[in-house]
Amino acid sequence: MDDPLVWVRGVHFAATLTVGGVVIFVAFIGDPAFRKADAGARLPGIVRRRLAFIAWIGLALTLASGAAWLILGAQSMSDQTLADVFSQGVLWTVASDTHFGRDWLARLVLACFLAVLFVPFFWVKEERPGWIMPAVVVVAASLTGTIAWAGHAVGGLGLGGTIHLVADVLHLIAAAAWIGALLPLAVTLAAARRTDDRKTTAATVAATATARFSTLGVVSVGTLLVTGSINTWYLAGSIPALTGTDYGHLLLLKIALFLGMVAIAAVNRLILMPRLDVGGSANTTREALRQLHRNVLLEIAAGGSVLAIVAVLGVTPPGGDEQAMPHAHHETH
Amino acid sequence: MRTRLLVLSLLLFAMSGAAAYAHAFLDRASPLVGSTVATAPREVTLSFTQSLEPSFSSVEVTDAKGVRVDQGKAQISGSTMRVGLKALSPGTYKVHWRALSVDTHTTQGSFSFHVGSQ
Repeated sequence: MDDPLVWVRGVHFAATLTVGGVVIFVAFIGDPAFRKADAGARLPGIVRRRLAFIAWIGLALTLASGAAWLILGAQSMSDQTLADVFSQGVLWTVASDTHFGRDWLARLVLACFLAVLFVPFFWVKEERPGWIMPAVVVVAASLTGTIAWAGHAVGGLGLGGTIHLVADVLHLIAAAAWIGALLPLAVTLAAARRTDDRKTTAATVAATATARFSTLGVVSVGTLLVTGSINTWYLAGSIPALTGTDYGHLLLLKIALFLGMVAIAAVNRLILMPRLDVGGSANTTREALRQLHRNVLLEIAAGGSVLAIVAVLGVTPPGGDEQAMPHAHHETH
Repeated sequence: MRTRLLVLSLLLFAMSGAAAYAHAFLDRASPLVGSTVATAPREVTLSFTQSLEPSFSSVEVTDAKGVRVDQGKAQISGSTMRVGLKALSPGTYKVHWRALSVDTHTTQGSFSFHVGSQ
């Protein structure tokens, strides 16, 4: 835990998934929901501005933590001091000569590209050109998915290695679509609770956003289950590897948190969402909105814990390794 | 339902028991790890379980006194490392390797082989 790389990884995952999540939220949930608001409603503008703010902060943190990861990675790869990493040209060797470094350069380009696209994407006042939306979604999803090249999945050989890598890319994008989009959903629900727009607008926007988020959530959870199982198979591979190693214990904890999030999501979808019905009483709607908002904040806390575990897992020898090679010498960086 | 599905899929995957390894481990070596070879080998070849980063992977071969007996630059491509050897006289030699996997994790290890009669 005292390894700074763990913290850098944690920040990088959270920041990148937030960027990906906000983009996916705006494209598939926010915009369709805002279209149902009254013509003069203030809610869409308020939410869009807050989401833009979150996305810009997220992108800045993605770049900063990415740079820190590259420096720490170069240090552990070269086995040299931090001073030598800068003075001996190690940083450039890593960036130009390793898979990790080339992936990082590609992601730097993607992040800069995204920054340029964000300007028209988050333009609140005017209609944006039609091509902006798909372009931003593709670039943001790429920025998220390409984290996989910095992880355990990239080392495999042959067909198995390819399957593992593809699964990891999809896992990351699905995680962004769910965990990353929770914060934008919370922002939308909070704004809907406090807006001075007509109650029907707030309820309609909240109900539409929640319904669409929930549908996207089912797809994401399904993808996370399948791809997570594939990753588990490749990295742990056996029951003893799950129950008898640190890696396995962390992974089981992560799965437990995931199941907790799925349980909360099920309550949201099956019990609270129907109560947001605009035809219901104002009190029922307000109370359902309050509980939904609280549940989403709970899910964010659980999702954050999942990301913290992932940050540690990446610097922990996978269970399959420890089972197979108990005496092998690891430098777990 | 989802819970049951997850447990089921986890069990299925777990029981199939095939494990690929993260981190590059030594898979095969020539000369074999701990082996005795009658004729002096001209090179040491190491195969790993993962692809390596040539810039940060290395191999050293030393004799019993710790003097380097490898010569030339190690050739590293894919998951294989290869280094030429000087003419070896009978004796015990130690191979020390350091492997940076493309997944950014470093492993290292060493083994001996013996040149001479059984």
